[in-house]
Amino acid sequence: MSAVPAPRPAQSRLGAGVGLRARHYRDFLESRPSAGWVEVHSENYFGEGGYDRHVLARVRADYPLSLHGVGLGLGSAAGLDDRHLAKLERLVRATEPVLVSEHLCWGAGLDGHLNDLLPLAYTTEALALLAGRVARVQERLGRRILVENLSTYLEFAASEMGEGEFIAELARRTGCGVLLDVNNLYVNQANQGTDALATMRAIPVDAVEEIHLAGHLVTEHCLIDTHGDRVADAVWRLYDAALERFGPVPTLIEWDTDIPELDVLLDEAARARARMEVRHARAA
Amino acid sequence: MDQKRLVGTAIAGLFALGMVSGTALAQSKDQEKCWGVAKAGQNDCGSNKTAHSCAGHSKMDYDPNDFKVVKAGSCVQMGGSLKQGEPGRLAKEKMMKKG
Amino acid sequence: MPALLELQRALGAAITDAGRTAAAAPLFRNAAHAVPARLAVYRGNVYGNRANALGGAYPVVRKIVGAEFFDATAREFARTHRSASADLNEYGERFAEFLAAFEHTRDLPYLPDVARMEWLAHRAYFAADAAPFDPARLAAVPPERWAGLRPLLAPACALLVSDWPLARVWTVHQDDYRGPLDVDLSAGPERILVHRPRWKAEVRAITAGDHRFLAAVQSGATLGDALAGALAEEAGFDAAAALARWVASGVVIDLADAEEAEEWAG
Repeated sequence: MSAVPAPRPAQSRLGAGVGLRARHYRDFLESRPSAGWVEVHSENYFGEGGYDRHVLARVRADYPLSLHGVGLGLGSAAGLDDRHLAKLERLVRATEPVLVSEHLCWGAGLDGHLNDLLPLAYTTEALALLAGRVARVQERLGRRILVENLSTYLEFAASEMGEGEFIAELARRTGCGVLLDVNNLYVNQANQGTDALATMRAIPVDAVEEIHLAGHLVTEHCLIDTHGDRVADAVWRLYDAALERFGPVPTLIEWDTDIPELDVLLDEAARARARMEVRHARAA
Repeated sequence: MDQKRLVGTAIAGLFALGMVSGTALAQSKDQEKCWGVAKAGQNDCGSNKTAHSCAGHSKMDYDPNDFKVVKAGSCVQMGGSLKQGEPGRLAKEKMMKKG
Repeated sequence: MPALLELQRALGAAITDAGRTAAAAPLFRNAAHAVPARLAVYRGNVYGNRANALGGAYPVVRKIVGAEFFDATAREFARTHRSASADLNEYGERFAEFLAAFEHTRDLPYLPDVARMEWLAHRAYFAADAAPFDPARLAAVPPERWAGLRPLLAPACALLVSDWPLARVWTVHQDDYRGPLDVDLSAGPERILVHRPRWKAEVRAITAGDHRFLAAVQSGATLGDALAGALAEEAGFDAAAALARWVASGVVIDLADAEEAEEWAG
């Protein structure tokens, strides 16, 4: 399988970014807040026109843009939705983002979409399926994509390898990059007993091109990846470990439920940036 | 009036009204200052807020026989207890046209 | 070992049907006692995401029945209606039919039409932007070809006929509306146009003649046929005023000259 030839872009200067959500459109259009870059959920901009596309074009003129897909479901064994991929392709070509990412998950069965990010069994069969899918998407988009590790509430007993090993092999086979979600690593450590540091160590250093940070919810049953709070202290510590291993990788603050004022997101982004700088100073 | 005259009057009206300025007006009305227009994006990757309550309660099954929520919106002011199935005037008109 | 498709099918079934939880439990590495609550998290995600999407598409229906009732109704729809798209902005097209049949909303017979109107407004929000009308193109067409011009509607435009006063219902439920809330539900019938002048979808009541004209245009009629049809529908139909109105408001965005197109193609 041939990897899409794409040189590793020099993106470390992006620094810390925030998710662009409708609630903060006004802030972005009126006052150009000091975020290093912004990321949106691709599907929210699948419309052919309208206000969201208009705002995206405006913001895109001021900030580097990352497109983060939530619906493609690279690992759906029932099939990849070609209509969805075509819409993503159109959006990528229209906005020329600096990064394009998708989740390591499945979401569609033979009888429709479940509209959630569902866990894969990490098997050789799944690896072959994912490698083919990632190659197909990269070919279609004419560029490299990043694949993000998933937060899970259940793990298949059929898995033959760990998520880190699976991602590393996927990156090796397809040339794709990795979007490392540090909060997801932490959530899985709590929910599945996996070792977050070991997962990081399994992933090649130069594959990671983006990091996600978000808040989660602690419940009596498990940790829930709500993206509805500040980043937890333990996740910040894990982030430091990630910076130690992967360097000052562009980092995004994600916030999707109970979205607060933009200042809160910018404050979290500033904390991430400060940690990147500390690490950078030590390395220098 | 024949079609040719009908169309001639209509197009002449367009020219007479100076459609250039008219169209420009409609288009420039609210370029940016339309806060509140944006729909909240529905495609998220954070777990749903309600996921937690689902995990903790038997409600997770969404028993359809357990529908006990009472309507409380503007339907009350709008005459929420209209008689069922009474056809409106248009439906009557349609029926009359058919008959 | 079960193939990936089988595993996914089993997980999907256990998410959408709590009755299959026990059967699915052995598929997971997690302790059996933990599985029901974990599956319920996914169930809450799947149905909750869909229900949220309905709330985004049907804000007026939500105001009419109240948030709590709406959310419970939306979950019932989500539970019983599969999703054909991974884009949740495309979910919920059949909500009007559901409301018409749902026993708890049968006392609100206007509600399904309100939902039909809102779906059109929802789709209008995402529709392609319209290029502004170009008078120079029209000026280049010789008068003998005017009747054969084909008017083109802006992509966001849609028409609906209802027994209920939908435009008034729409108006009083807009977030920035501050007037009295009363709606005369016996005021119908009504023909409405959903359109998007710039970014925000709007709903306006239109006359029978205008409706006939725009509906004809929508189905590809020539300007001559569309205007003649409107005049036949409504004796007082003012063709010049109507065409000027729909061009000026960005509803008719072009008067396409078929012969010119052929010349170009040739």
